[in-house]
Amino acid sequence: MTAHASPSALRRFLRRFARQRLSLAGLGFVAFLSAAAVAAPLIAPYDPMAINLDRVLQGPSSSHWFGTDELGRDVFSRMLFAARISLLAALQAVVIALLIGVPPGLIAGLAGGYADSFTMRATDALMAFPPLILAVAIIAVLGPSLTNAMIAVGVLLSPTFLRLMRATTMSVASETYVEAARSIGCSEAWIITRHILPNVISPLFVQISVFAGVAMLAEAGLSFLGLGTQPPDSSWGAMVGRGFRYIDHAPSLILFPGLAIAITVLALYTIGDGLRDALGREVRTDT
Amino acid sequence: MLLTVDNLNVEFLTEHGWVRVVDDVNFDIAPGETLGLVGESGSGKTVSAMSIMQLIPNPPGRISQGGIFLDGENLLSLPDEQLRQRRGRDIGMVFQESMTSLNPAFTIGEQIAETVRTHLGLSRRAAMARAVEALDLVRIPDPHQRARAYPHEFSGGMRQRAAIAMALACEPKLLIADEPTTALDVTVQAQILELLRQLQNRFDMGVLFVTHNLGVVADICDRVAVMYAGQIVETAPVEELFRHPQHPYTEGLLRAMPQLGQAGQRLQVIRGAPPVPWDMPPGCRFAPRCPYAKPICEQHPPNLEGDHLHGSRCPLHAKLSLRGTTHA
Amino acid sequence: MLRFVLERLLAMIPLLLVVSLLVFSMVLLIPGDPAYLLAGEDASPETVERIREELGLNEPVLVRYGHWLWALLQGDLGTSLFSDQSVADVLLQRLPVTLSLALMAIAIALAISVPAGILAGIRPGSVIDRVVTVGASAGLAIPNFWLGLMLALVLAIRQPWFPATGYVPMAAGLGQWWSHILLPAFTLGFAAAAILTRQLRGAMVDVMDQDFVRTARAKGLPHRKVVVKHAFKNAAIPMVTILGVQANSLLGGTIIVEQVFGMPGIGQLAVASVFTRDLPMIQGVVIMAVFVAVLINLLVDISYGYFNPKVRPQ
Repeated sequence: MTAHASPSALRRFLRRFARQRLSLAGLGFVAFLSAAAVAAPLIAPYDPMAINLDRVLQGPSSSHWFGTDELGRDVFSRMLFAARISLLAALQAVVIALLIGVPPGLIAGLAGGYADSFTMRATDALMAFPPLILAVAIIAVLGPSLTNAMIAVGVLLSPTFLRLMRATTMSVASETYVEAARSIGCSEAWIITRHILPNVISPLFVQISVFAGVAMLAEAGLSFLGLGTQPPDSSWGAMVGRGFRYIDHAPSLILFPGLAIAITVLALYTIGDGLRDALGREVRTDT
Repeated sequence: MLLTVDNLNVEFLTEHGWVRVVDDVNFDIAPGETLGLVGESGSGKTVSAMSIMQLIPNPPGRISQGGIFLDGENLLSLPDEQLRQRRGRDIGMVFQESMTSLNPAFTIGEQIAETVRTHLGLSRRAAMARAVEALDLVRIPDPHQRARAYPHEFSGGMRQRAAIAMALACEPKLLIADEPTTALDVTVQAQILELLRQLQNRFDMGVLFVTHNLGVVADICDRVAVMYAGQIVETAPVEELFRHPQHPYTEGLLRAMPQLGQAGQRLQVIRGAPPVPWDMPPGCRFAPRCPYAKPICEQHPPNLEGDHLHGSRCPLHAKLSLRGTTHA
Repeated sequence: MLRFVLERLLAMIPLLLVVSLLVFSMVLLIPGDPAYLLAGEDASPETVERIREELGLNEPVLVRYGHWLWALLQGDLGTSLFSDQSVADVLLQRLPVTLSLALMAIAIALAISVPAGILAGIRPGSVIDRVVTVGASAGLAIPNFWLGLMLALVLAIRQPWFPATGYVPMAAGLGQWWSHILLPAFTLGFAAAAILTRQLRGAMVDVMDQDFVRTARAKGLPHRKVVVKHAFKNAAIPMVTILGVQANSLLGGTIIVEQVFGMPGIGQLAVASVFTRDLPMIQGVVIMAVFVAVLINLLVDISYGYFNPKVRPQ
């Protein structure tokens, strides 16, 4: 794969992805959900904060599709608003992981030597922690809040991005054309933007979509424990956490937000699978 | 007859539909006899050999027609369980790649012993003793020790010896050897062939020897069947086939064979490439590459003609005087 | 074998040192004066001073780390800021709960994934394969707390077949222990089962095409033996690697599952300690968790040698 071929290689990659129906359905679902979350104030049938003590803990009905919570608030409307937080939180965690993981991975791959072994030992140490324990420890230091929880999740996910960047950078940097570019005096910045980034972008896409799912699950788990989203905000995981107390009387309080998490995560993984398959063939035909 | 392969047809499901890769193949092997099945890769020789044990992966492959008789019993109509009992017990098989055809996760001794346990019902200890004997038989030094080694601890030649020990552990009546020496270097190859010859005499086995190498055939076989594009094109005793080939393809193979004492002579290569199985020539399948082809060759598919000693699928063979070699 | 284990243990020392440094520096990373922060807004100056002393905040950093590490090596993890109990004592008391939950979860994950992965992998595209693949995808996507709540709702609350909460030690009766641990362990192990199944299925598909499987058939071995002995032992090699990673994330998952099922384990303690700002306790939890994770990974490494003789020590 040469740098000049890369834009068209990326196009080929996306075209192959577009042929995978299941993954497209996943992408469609995530897009639809995002649009619904953005438009929540316009389409939600009720004010998510409107308390109605005459109708508490009701099951699904034609007036309240997903029932009502312990304060008589409409669960469907609350879920629409919670979708904003769940989606944004996942995005936030992945962006943080990219920020922490990509630059050191790039440096380790280019510089090698001590810089490389230092970053590798650091990722080893991070990966020795059971992931959720590490997240809880970070939250214990920073204090429980959604942003802090997502910083913790970002830290958890960053070693994988770092290793991916490092491996790709190393293999590209040893290619003859990169050595040639360097020998004729091209700057490192030029080499990175022209040669390395185009090659790493596709595998990075795969990892991003899978990790968006992982981050969403992690956010849900932490918010369920009360370590993530704090009231009055609510994410799907936090809704399950609150519904926990009423599991016997109103299981729908748990059922619907949990299903929403599962379906969205499944959609994100399916996108990742599709990207990986599209990528897999790319690798095979190019080597 | 020990083994009779009668009108064997094998098909594979491809993007062109079911295509026939083995077409009307007939041969037989007597006890103590070695038949060489010779051809290029893709000629159907390995598929034919695998079909005897019904090891063709299905899907995509299937035996669409024919009979395979071992001591008069049709293996193709046996229930799975009975066929399984013949495999390894009555028929042993040695494959080309000893590195990949031995299981890396088990010791050599265990891999031999389990065959014996399965078929002869020996105890663990007795089976292991039998495995050590078998390793000794194929002249692996210090067999007690080596039985406890793993395949990756063996050299290529040693692995192939171990594979032979495994195939012979139950003293089968028939040995199928699929290019057993191809992956080895020449000196080791000669040793393995010598070993096979001795073991065959000792057990009076029939051997089906699949190879693309006519030199090896001259070394070890009694009779030869030459395959081209899924068909047997010529069959004869080794001496006869080498001296008086009756099919232009055989002649081509002989000419392409390097010969001792004829240094400096240019090897002649058969021009062109074999046809693909989904687009076979309507007449003789070799006609497009044949230097002697006449228009008649391309019209009717020729049959294998001649007596049981020497048969040829060339419609012109009586009119041609093909050149053989005295090498064999 | 002993040497192999010792070498592995020695190789872990630098890693554990880095981990201890990270855990120690948690105190340093707390924004503001940790003593004030931990004591709460309306704490008396004496309490703040006591906490400062407790955390050793009056000494230089490296000295503090040295003291802390020395105490750690002697099994002294400090004193809880919340209950004045020894952190090590509290942890040891709760460890059996978390450990039996995690080990049972691994056992359940293996009990599901090995047959499912084998059955799906020997016939790719079959009905079984499709069912397994869909099930595995679901297993990856379903949040474990939700799965736990749904199981508790259906099998413990609606139908009182299992107790919904609590834990009974093994000593109090195997049946009691079993009924308390089964739902939580299934909940915890389900995601790992999904990942292991996917891994094993893929490996089986590859291995079944290998030459040595054909050889095993040619030897006349029964189908079951070809699959379970020859193919599986090779397909298990990548699975064992994944198992180490999964064991790690399983230990993390105990935090959530213990909360769902009200089990008095280390995970529950960790969450409670975040809210009570009991930093020494959290540090102890993290140290303990990493230690257990390292031990489990050592076991996995040892079993790796069983499956793959090429890496076995001579």
